[in-house]
Amino acid sequence: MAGAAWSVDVEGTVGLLARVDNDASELRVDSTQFAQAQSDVVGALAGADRVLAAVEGFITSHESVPGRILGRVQRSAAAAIACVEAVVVADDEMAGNAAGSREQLPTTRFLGGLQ
Amino acid sequence: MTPTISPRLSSLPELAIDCPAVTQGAAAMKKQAGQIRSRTHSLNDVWSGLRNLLQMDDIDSLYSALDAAVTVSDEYAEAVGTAADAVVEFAETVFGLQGERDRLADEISALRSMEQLSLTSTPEYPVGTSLALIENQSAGIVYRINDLVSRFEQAEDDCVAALGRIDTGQGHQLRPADLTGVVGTAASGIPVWVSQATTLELALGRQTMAVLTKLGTLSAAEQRAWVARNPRFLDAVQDVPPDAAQVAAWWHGLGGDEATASAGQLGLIAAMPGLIGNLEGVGYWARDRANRAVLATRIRDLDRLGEQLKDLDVSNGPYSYTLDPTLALLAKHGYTETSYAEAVAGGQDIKLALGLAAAVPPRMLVSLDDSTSPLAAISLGDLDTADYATYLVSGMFSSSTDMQGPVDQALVLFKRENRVAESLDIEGTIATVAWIGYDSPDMLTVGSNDHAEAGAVKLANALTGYGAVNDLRPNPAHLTVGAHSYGTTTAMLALRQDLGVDAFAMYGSAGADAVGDVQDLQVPAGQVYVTEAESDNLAPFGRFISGRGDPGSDLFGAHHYGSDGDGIDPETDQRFSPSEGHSEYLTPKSEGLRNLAYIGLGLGNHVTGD
Repeated sequence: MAGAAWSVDVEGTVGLLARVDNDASELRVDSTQFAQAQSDVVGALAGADRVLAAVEGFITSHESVPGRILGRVQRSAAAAIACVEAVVVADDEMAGNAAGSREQLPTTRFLGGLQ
Repeated sequence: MTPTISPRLSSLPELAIDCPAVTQGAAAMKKQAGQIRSRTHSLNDVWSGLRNLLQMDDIDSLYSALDAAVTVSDEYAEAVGTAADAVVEFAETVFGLQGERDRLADEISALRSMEQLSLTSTPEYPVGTSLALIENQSAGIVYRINDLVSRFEQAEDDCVAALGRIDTGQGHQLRPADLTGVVGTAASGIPVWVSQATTLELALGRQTMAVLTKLGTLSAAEQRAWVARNPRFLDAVQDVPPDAAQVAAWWHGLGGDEATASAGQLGLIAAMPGLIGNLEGVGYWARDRANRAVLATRIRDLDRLGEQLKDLDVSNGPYSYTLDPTLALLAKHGYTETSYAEAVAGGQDIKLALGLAAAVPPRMLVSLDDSTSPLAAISLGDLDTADYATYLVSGMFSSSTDMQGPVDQALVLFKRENRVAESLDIEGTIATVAWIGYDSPDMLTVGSNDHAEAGAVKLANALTGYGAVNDLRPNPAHLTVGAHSYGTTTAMLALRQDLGVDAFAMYGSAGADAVGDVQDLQVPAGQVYVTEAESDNLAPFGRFISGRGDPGSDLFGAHHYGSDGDGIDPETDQRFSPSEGHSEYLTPKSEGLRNLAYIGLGLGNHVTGD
C-alpha cells in the first residue's frame, strides 16, 4: 500500500508482530528458567552468608532486566501499531477514535513512550 | 578422662555449601542469560524488517527502538557471566576446602583417640603417644584450621569483591516493565507477554468498524469520495479483516435483503465492491452484486489489454525477453504471458459458471479474490435464506480456470437435495456452494500439507462469515461441509475449530493431518461421514505418499456411507449409476450423491451403508 509520505504493509506488519510474539514468549520462558537457576544458586549457598548476601544483591539489581527488555519490545510494538492505525485511517476525519488527519500524523506522539 | 590438648571437631568451619549445586545453578544462570541475549538479538533482527513494512516521516527512532534492548542484553549477559564465574570460582575453592576439612576432621578424631589412650598411660604401664607429641600435632592442626578458615574467608572476600565490581547490566537504559500496561508481571515476577499481532488486529478491527459504521451513513457520492481518498484503508481491511460477527451486525443494521437494501448498503457496494464482495459477515446478496461488478470490470480490463496486445507492432521481432513489446505491455499491467492467460481463462470461466442473470437456480458469486488466477466461490441457491447449506470443498487441481466443473457438481447436489426434500415433504430452501477458495495442490505437491494448512485458514474464514450471517437469522440454516480428496485434508484442519458445521462428509479422502479421530473435529457427535469407492485407487495412493491418516479407518470413528453404487436406490428402486475411480462421487444418480444429499438435509441416519 503506498501513498503520500507514508505506506504500510498491514499483513506484513501482522506477520512481523507474530514473529515478535514468538521471540518475546520464548524470552519469557528463558527468564523463568533463569529465575529458577538463580533460586537454585541461592538455596545452595547457605553457609556462605556474605557471598549469599552479595549474590542476592546482584540478583536484586539485575532481576528487572528481562522485564525491561520485554517492556521495550512491547512499547515499540505499541508505537508501531499506533503508526499503522494512523496510516490506515490517516485521511479519515470521520472515525472519532481514529488517529486524525495527515497533519497530525505521529511521530513523537507515538514514539515518546519508548524509553 | 576427656582429651584436653587435641582440638575439637567443632572448631572446624562448617563449609556446608552445596558446591555442585552452586556450580550447576551458576552455569544455568549463565546459559539462560545467554539465551535472553540471543533472543533479544533475534527480536531486533525481526524488528529490522519494520523498515520495509512501515514508512512514515520521522520514525527512525522506531526502527532502531530495540537497539538499546540489544545493548542491555549484551551487558546483562556479560554481567551475569561474570557473576556466575565468580560464584563458580568460589564454589570450586570451597569444594577443595571441604576436602581439607574432611581430612582435618579425620586427623582430629584420630588425635583425640590417641590423647584418650595416652591419658590412661602410667609409668608402670606406658601406652600411646606422649602428650608432648600430641600437643605438637594439635598445634599443627590448629594452624591448619586457622588457615582453612582464612582461605574460606578469602574466597568469600574474593567472590564478594568480584560481584561488587559488577556495576553494569542492570538495564537502566530501559524503563522497568509497566505493571499496569499490556505487559503485566505475573506472580513469579516474570512479565506476561500479550500477543502484539492480535493487538494490532483488534485495533484495526475497531478502526475498521468505526469507519464502516460512519461510511454507512454517508451518501453514495460521499462514500465514493472517501474511498478515493483512502486506498490504504481498503487494503488494510482486506489484509486484516474485522470480526465477522461485528460486520454482520453492522450490515444487518444498515438495511434488509436485496429487495429492501438501504441507500447506504447500495452505495457501499458501488463504492468499494472489492471489499464488500469478500468481507465476511456481509449479506451474500450484496457480496454477489459487488463481486459481479468486480468480475465485469476485470474482464473488461483484460479485454482492453487484449486489444492493445493485438495492436502491438511486433513485425520487427524476434525480440529478447526484455525488449519484447508484448511482454513489456503485460508486465506493465502486472502479468506474465502465463498469468495473463490464466486471468483471462479464470474470469471467463467464472462468468460462464455463473450463467445468465436469470439462471435457475439463482447463482451467487459469494467470493472473488484479486489474484491473477482468481479464487472464487459460487452458490447455487440463495445462501442468505437457504435452510440447508452445503459447502463443497474441492481437491487437487481445482481452480477457477475450471469453475464449471465444481459448479456442475454443486448443481447436481442442489437438484438431488431438492428432490429428496420434496419426496419427504421437507420444508425449506437449499443452497450448495462450489468453494474454490484456496490454492489446491497438483500431483507434485499433493503429498505436502502446505496447501491444506493455508486453505484451512481460508475455509475457516468463509465458514465463520457464513456463521455470522446465519446466526442473525431467526431460524439458522443447517450447515454441511462436503469435501473431496485433498479438500478433506483441508476441511479437517479447518474443522478443528468450532465453525458451526452441523455435518461433515468426506469422499475419496487424501488423508488426515493433525487430526487423529472424530473427537478432534468440532462437529456434532455422529455427524462425521466418510466414503471411499472400491475402484478409487488415487485416494489411498495420496495417503500413502503423504503418510496422512485414513479417516475411513475404524479408529477414526467416522460414520461410513456407500458410494460404490452396487445396490438399489431406496427411493427409486433403481440401480445406482456405477461410480468409477476417484472423481465420480457426485455424478447424477450415484450412491455417493444420494447419500451426500441426505447428509446435507440433516438426514445422515438414512444413508446407505458401504
